[in-house]
Amino acid sequence: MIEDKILLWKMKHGSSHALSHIYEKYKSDLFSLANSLLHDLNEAEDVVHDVFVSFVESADQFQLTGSLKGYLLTCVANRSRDRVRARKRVPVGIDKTDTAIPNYEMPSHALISAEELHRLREAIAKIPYEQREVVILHLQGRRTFRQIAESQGIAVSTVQSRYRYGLDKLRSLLNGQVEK
Amino acid sequence: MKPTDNFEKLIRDLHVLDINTSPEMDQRILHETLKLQQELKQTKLAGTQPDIWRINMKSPIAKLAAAAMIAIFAALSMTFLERSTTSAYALDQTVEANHSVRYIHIKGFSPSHKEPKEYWVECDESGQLKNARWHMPEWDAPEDGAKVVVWKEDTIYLWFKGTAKKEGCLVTYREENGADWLYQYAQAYNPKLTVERLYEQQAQGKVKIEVDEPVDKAKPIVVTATYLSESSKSGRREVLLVDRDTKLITTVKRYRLKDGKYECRVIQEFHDYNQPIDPGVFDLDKEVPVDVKRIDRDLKRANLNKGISPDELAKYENMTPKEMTQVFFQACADEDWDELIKFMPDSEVSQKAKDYYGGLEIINIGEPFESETYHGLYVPYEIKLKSGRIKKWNLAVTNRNLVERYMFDGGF
Repeated sequence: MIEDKILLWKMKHGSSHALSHIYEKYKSDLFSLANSLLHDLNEAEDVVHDVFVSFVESADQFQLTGSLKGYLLTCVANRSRDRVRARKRVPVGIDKTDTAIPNYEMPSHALISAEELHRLREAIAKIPYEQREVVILHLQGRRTFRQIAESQGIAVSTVQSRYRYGLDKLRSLLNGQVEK
Repeated sequence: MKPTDNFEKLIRDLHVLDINTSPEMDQRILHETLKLQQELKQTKLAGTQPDIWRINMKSPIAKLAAAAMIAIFAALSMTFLERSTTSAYALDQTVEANHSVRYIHIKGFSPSHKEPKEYWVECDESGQLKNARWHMPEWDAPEDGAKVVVWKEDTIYLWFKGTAKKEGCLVTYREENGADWLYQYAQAYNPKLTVERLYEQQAQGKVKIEVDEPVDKAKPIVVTATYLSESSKSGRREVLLVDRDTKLITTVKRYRLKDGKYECRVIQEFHDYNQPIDPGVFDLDKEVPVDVKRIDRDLKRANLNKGISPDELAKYENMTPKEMTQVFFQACADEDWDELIKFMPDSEVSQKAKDYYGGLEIINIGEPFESETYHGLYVPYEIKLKSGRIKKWNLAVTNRNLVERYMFDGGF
């Protein structure tokens, strides 16, 4: 994206406006991804914060080879993974996401009730992290399987398997709650 | 809950109706990262002297503040200079001489690179920036390749000359705060501020200034500023060559102490003071070869969203590839070409296409899939044309465009 290239170029030359623009442009996607992966608003905020700090620190050496959004999403995914590993599989408290501010800008979204939303989030939080990461990155981050594979240094087939297993697991978790 | 068939869509939607960042969080993250950026910028300035010209400040407050600073430091430095040297030359003569500068051409050399960075700057009679041009050699940013940037009448022209891997292009765009950006970008060292900065540093006891006026009148005045241990720039030295007649700086050499010796790192040459610059220098449109791709970012973005009201925009931005394909073919079915055009980057539907696809019937829209060779997605479709023919193929859709929403990219 030429717009991102210009923003990045300006940011490298010290433009605070360009940095603010990049933040405003991608903050929602990054924060949502971090929250989906971590199920903890505070940790999600920390991850986005750390990603931007690191982004600013490395701006001089940074070379954009793909999309800026893709790069930032990958950074969020990597840092989220580090945090999950650090937790040593301590069960995630889903209640920490309850303070989230729902974004009902599209009327159809209001049709999904808070209870259903909660169940779905809870189920996502229960599937193995590797699977959750692929499902979230693919469906919410709009990353292709190939892009996910490249960013994690694993085979595309592995990513596809994790995705399939993740969805199967979600289906089974929600089995009693899903209308057939 | 919805049927499991919609499972993927549900999770995708979960993202859309997910959380917004709070203003407090934005404030915290932005504040900290902007502060960090500023600190790094200062460190960078102290470490490697940028060789760029100051773009005039548009803010009257900033101008007043700068004027006040100059007056204060000029007064302070007069005292110091009187104490430190008996030379007839005083730095404020250079400050004074700089006030009348309207045109300048600057070359910035680095010992490790043959090709210099170059800048041309034109100010209007009131001292406001009018036009500017930068030449950035490839070594400045190898990933971008060589660039030329022109700022003219609030419009930025960015000519990427291309690399072995990337095609060149000319990008134009306007931005309200372009001057702010340029000001920030260029607020580093420059011939005017070089002297003012030295006054400031000297007043704080951070720099020792020595002025040498050779007896040989053909030789320039040499101002040597050596940063003392109290300064964050300790170990650095600047040598200014000043023209005897005009009192303007002709060259700034920047040194850094290495192994007990001062090593020259950057040489800036200031040419053609007040020599009117050919207007063609600021006219990239004529200079860029005709076969170079031209991108008017603002116009293109406006065209891509033409016909979409601000209230409707979110609807189009949030469409999934499959939804977009459905709406795309439904527009053909309804012969609603105004709707169809919203997904067409070319902003045109040919009569041939209208005759061929108008009134079609959608049989099926499949699930999007990826391909190793295409960056977007393929959406399988099956349609029945007015002629009775059944067409089964894949629509290529991508959101890698200026408006970042899914649009048609092929397969129609």
